[in-house]
Amino acid sequence: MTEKPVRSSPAILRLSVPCDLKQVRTVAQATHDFLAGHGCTEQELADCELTLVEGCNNAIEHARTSEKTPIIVEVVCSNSEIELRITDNTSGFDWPEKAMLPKGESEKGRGVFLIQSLVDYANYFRSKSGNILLLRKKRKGGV
Amino acid sequence: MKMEIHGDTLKISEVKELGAANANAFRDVAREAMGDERKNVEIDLSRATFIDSCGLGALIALHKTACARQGNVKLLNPPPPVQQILELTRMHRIFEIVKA
Repeated sequence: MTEKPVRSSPAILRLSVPCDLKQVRTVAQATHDFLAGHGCTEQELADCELTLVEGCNNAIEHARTSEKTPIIVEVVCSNSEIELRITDNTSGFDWPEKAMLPKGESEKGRGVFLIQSLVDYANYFRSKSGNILLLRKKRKGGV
Repeated sequence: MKMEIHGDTLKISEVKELGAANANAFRDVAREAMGDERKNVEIDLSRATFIDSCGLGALIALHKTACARQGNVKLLNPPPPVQQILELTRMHRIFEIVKA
């Protein structure tokens, strides 16, 4: 007899991050701990932590002085997938369909490349009421 | 973070994280310690638990300073998660990575 995979409601973590680069690691650590508590692998933890940091850093770095409102981070963890949503109220930036690495000695421009490389789905939705960076990563052995 | 001078080499160790919050400070402190005389930098990453694109940018900035003096930057013992990011971003082609 084949066992049916157990499905349960996804766990959700919602955090507000001040628009300050120094606060991002705290949120990344909280996300790491949350995902670790739901059985994510070391690779999933490392990939989600880095993509979350890069996403938040981008939102903060693109915020003008008048746009420095908190960023909302939502993490949804199910048996099959991890979803990260980063919502900001900045004017945003143009999301490349496929980011390329910059020339070797450029000091910037690797953040979106890393995001796109480490998750299975990444897209950025801009609107006047806020921008959402939506990231999804399939879980190893997910159902 | 700990820094020591050995001849024309600046040795940096006990780096735990290299990200947007501290990358510029890391670069500036290291450059100051290089002064005008040091042309090589060795960075022991064995204790590093996290690096992001800003941290990579700081390493490249030091690489450019060292190269301008005909020196180099060596990265020592990066743990697997850091090594993965170095390889993914092709940084392993720029830096000499030394594993014990």
